[in-house]
Amino acid sequence: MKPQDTGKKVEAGGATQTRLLARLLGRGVGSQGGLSLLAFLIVVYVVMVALRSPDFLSLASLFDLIRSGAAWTVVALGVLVVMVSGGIDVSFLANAILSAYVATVITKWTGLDSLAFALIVAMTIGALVGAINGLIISLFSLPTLITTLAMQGVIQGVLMVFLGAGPITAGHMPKSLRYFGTDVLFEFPDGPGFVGLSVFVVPLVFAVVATWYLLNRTAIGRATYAIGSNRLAAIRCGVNLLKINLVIYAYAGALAGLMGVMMVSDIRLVDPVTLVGNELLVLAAVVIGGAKLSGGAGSVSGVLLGMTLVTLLNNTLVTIGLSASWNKFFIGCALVLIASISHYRAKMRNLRQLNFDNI
Amino acid sequence: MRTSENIGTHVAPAGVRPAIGFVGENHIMELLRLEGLSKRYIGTQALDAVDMTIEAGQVLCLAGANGSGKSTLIKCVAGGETPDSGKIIWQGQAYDSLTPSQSMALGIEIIYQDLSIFPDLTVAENIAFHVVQSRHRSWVDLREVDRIATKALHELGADLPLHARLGDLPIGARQTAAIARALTQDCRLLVMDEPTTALPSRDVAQLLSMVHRLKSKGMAIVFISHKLDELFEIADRFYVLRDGRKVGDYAPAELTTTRLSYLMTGVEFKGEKTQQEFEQIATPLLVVEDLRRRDQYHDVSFSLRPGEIIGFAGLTGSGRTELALTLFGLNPADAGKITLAGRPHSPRSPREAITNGIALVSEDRHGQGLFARKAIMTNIASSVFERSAGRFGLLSQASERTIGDTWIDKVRVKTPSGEEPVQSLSGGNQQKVVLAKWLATDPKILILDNPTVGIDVGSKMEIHDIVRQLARQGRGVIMISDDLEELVMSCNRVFLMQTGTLAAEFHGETLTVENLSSGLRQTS
Repeated sequence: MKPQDTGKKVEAGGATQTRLLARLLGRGVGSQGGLSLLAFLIVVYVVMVALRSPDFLSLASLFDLIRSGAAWTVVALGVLVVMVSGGIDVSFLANAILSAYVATVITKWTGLDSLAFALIVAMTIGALVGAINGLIISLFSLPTLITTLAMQGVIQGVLMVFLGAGPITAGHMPKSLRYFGTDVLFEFPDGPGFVGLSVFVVPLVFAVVATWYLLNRTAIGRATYAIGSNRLAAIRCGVNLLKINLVIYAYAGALAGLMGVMMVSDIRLVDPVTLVGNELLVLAAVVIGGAKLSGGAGSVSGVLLGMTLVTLLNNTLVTIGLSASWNKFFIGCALVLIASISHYRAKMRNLRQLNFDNI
Repeated sequence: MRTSENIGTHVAPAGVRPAIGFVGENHIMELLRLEGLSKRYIGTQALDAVDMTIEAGQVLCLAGANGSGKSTLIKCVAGGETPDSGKIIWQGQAYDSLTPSQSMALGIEIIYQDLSIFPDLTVAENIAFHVVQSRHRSWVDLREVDRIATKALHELGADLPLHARLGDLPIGARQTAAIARALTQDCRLLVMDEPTTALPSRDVAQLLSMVHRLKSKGMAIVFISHKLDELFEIADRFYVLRDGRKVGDYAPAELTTTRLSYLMTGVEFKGEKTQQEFEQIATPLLVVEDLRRRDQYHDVSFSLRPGEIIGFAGLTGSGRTELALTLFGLNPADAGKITLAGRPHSPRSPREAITNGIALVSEDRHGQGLFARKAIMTNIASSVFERSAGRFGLLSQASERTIGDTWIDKVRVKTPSGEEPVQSLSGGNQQKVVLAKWLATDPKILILDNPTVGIDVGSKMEIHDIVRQLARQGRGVIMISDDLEELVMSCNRVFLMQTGTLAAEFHGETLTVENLSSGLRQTS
């Protein structure tokens, strides 16, 4: 009988351990819990970097972080809206470069060298391309991944074949765009030179506020969550899928256009073959921020945190003595970690209701 | 345009509310009349010249076996389906067919079995969803959302945490939210499709009282359920459908459960006990001693012999399902001993349990038991796919078909061929496929969790027959059920489970529906 008794104890011990783990990870059910964990990871990483190079904790680093993350965050917010609806968009970077390219050409051609004009053109083209995505997805009930993947190919084809696009170098870019890339909102003296906050913070704040308002305070935004949460129920409730898809894909497209102009101004080169290929990095940041591929979940604050982590890794791996090639490795690890934890949470929640769907 | 003022009309106490329905002629309170409604699908006449009237302030129970045309009838009223002929007359206005938004605008609300709620939105948002979406205004006022939700819940006499994520709340709360949402739409006819099937028994009483409350406010309710005893509790009228035809319209006083079963199926069932003899001296298949799991059950001891069917009655949350899941390896016990055919058994995964000869047919056949779009034979063979695999581990269609056909025949699944997808079958036949799937693993012990929930009377009897046959072959069966009659008819012994312990055991003379239900009443 004795050996069996010990066996039982081990088993009981196992159960206690599982419960402890459950308690540690299961705290604060819902996305808020996941976000505080993400914030914690970011703080730990910042402390690590700061220990290695104390100058890192400075206004300059913060401004640099904002400048390099702003454009990517703007486009990620559009991706978030699509992902909340349960869809996925992989055409946004192709859309961004198309919009920026056409906007640059038109700005030069008309001689209207104004940033506002370039932005309006780029965002309109982006929104139109996005609306086509939404239209195709709704009319033919196509999978969003396939539709937007096809759109990515079509856009690149259009750029290459029809527009015969070659790179436009800084010398040929409109002045307003070049200034947009270097202008600062305000600056402080810092040692020998100055450190300034890039004007990119303006479109960033605009995108953050607009996306938050769209998702949380409009009927369309709430319907977007509803579709992602339970599509059939949304249809039964009379939600107009065509309208919602048009709005959200056009919105994502408009933000892509905005991002495109920010990118080309930043790198001072309009090259149709740049950007495309980095889609998964943006999607990873949105998922790290708590959005679910199945839809219904995700928040603006999540995207901000996810993008902060990704940009931090991008900017600082060299500071802690690792080559930039480690970037993708760490983003991959963060993605797996966050996804596993949110899955584990959902599982624990379901177990409490004796539901074994996702074991 | 709908505004929150419209909702206010519901708050008027019973009697004060203005009479709905057109006044005049002789149908003062008549709300909806169906005249000669017919609908034909390829191969079946789903509805055959059906007439029906529904009056305000009345609970009409729509009874019929699976495939009798209930769902088609509901779909015609909800607007998802266009009838081939006949008229839908709403308050004197005749329609050939309705669109979903038309039907909603008239004040017809359907609560489907899956509830159609949004798990990721809050309770308040779920309830106010229709109002927010149908408004000609693009922004959302969260305080108004809360007001709408509070008002609807108040009307129902229910209380829910407004800002909780609805998906985190138990099924009873989700149902309450679904009903509350219907109320925000100036609803006059509420159709509830099997609202109690997935509901724990303690929530059923609350649901029925909500139905009473709505009825007293002048709402008409069409209630669909397979649980006949429930129907008798709330029905003002019974309307029976069979094979797409109206069998009749009855007052509850004219009917008994047996008579209603007969009307629904056309077959006479004798509700007698058919327990069987089993080998008392044989070694038990399963011995459970002092099993406990924190917060779920404790001090559970019982044994199961070959050929025996033992039952577990009790409220949801009494630990019945949790105990079954432990035996099946999904919910490990903290302490205690399980002996399976003389050997210690403490499964850590369903796989281990299955290898040791235990099968569990779960209550939720949609979520856990079946691959709905796959062929029947594929479903049955899925539990033994190692065995149906040929050389190089590739699956062989031929052996899949052999296994499928054998079991389709044994459990009498009604289908033209094993290649039909499972979703084409009625609920009862789907449940037979689940049974067949597990029987194909040749289990020594079969655990059934509410095996006949949501299944019509005819299929129910057939499933009971199959279970008895299995016991006769020397298998042990553990049956968990809320249907006391089912337990009394099938089981040799029944344990009453109460707050995690086996509170009482009934067998032989003491095993009666009366004893069980009085035992259950003491628990609650």
